[in-house]
Amino acid sequence: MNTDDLARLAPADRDLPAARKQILKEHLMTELRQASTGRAEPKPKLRRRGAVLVAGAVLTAAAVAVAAVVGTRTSPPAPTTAPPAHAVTAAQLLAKIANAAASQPSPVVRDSDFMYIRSEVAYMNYTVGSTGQLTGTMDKLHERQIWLPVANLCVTGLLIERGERTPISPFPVTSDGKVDRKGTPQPDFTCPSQGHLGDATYRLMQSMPTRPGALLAYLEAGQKWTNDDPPTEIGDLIRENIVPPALAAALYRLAATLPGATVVPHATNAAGRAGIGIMWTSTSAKQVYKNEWIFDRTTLQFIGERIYDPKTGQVTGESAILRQAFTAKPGQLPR
Amino acid sequence: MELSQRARVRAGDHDEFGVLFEEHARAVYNHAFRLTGNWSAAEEVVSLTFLEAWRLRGTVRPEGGSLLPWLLGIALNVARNISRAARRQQAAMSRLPKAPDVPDFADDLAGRLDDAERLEKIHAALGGLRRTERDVLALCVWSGLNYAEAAEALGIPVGTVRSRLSRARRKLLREPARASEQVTGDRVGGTR
Repeated sequence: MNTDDLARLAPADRDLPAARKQILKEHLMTELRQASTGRAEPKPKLRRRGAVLVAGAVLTAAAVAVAAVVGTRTSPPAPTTAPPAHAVTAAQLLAKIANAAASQPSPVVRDSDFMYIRSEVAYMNYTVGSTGQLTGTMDKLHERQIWLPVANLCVTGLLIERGERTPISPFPVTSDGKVDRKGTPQPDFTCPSQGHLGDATYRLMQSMPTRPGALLAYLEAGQKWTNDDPPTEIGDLIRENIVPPALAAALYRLAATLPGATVVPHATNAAGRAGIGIMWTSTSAKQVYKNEWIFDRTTLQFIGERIYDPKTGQVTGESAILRQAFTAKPGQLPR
Repeated sequence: MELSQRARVRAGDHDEFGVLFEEHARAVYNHAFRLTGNWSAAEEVVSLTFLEAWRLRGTVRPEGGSLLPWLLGIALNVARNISRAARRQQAAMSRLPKAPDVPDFADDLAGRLDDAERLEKIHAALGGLRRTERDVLALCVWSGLNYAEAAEALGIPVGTVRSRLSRARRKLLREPARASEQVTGDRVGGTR
């Protein structure tokens, strides 16, 4: 075969169906308008937070089949002892977790501080193969360190992952790792900013309501940023974050009232630390997921998550929180 | 003085993005289909490509001709790693109305399925090539870019385009039987 054959054999060009083309164009123009009128866009969860699932609509449209998975995780050591076997309901466990969170001391945090989280993570990366199949490749478990500004998203944070240092900023980051402060910020908000649900600073979290009804209303209103249901929003908040004790307690208390949770008596985080899990399963039209929050068995602190392909049960992401503290500067390690 | 299209795109002129979409959506759509082999994925790639183009508008070089090579280069990256692009544009994509259950091209559905099947065979024939070689083929042979345009799309020197293309050509010639049989055979179905 030569390249002429290749040109000849390829299917002839087709038009984008007119109605669809119109929709795609209107969508683009609306997005551009919104980007420019100061309506803050939800930030991509990945750049800042690390871990996250692909927009459902895109996956369903593009997914033909998830094929070969490379690099499955090594299974963690089995728990040696079998502590409390009494069946505890998810709501009861979440209530205990909430009480444990409430009894944590509130740290004194300065506006100029950074929230530091060190974790080990591995998430699935999807690529579309030459024939349209989605192929998932699991990351190797690796260290991730992040410094996030406490009070103002416009202050540049830092992510160190796989030896790469990436500034975290709402402003464009150039390929050589510089923040372009003259660029159009994404989201297009005005500085300073405490952020919004989906990209909240510590200060914003401190101001969130803690009464269950008000908190639920707040999370539901926040769907305009996140497009997620409350369990997912709560999961995003705790994933890689230091949540103020009062809010953490309120989130877990609220979670206890939401449908979809079950207890996983023996869960281990990505680093192999044994714990107890809360599994969230949703098969609603809007969101399909199977996500597990993992808590230390005795302190009931959040120690990581594991997410699954709801269809196959295969692990598509996992983490272990190793350290969290406040530091004075990005790049600085806590004592 | 009237600004060039490149200047207006760099300046983030909305209307110019509308013009860009009108001019090039079809080419990006067909390019995306040839890369993914899937018409609905191709629609997603079109959408993501223009959203990414907006995000990357500052990277447009001030001087040059048509912006199609730039868009096709973005589309290659989007198609290769659709999930990353989708995550970056997660919010925007969540607001994109879903494609109808009954496709609006129901009339020529059969033709489109044939296209997909045909392309699957072509991709099988290209299996021995490196991804970078396939990219050059997709741009030069299928989307009709010249060497300089392909170089702009891929962000690589023209010489590299030339050498990748000639390497791809040699490899294709080396396996004539396998390739042409799989691609042109009328009824190879059933074996795969």
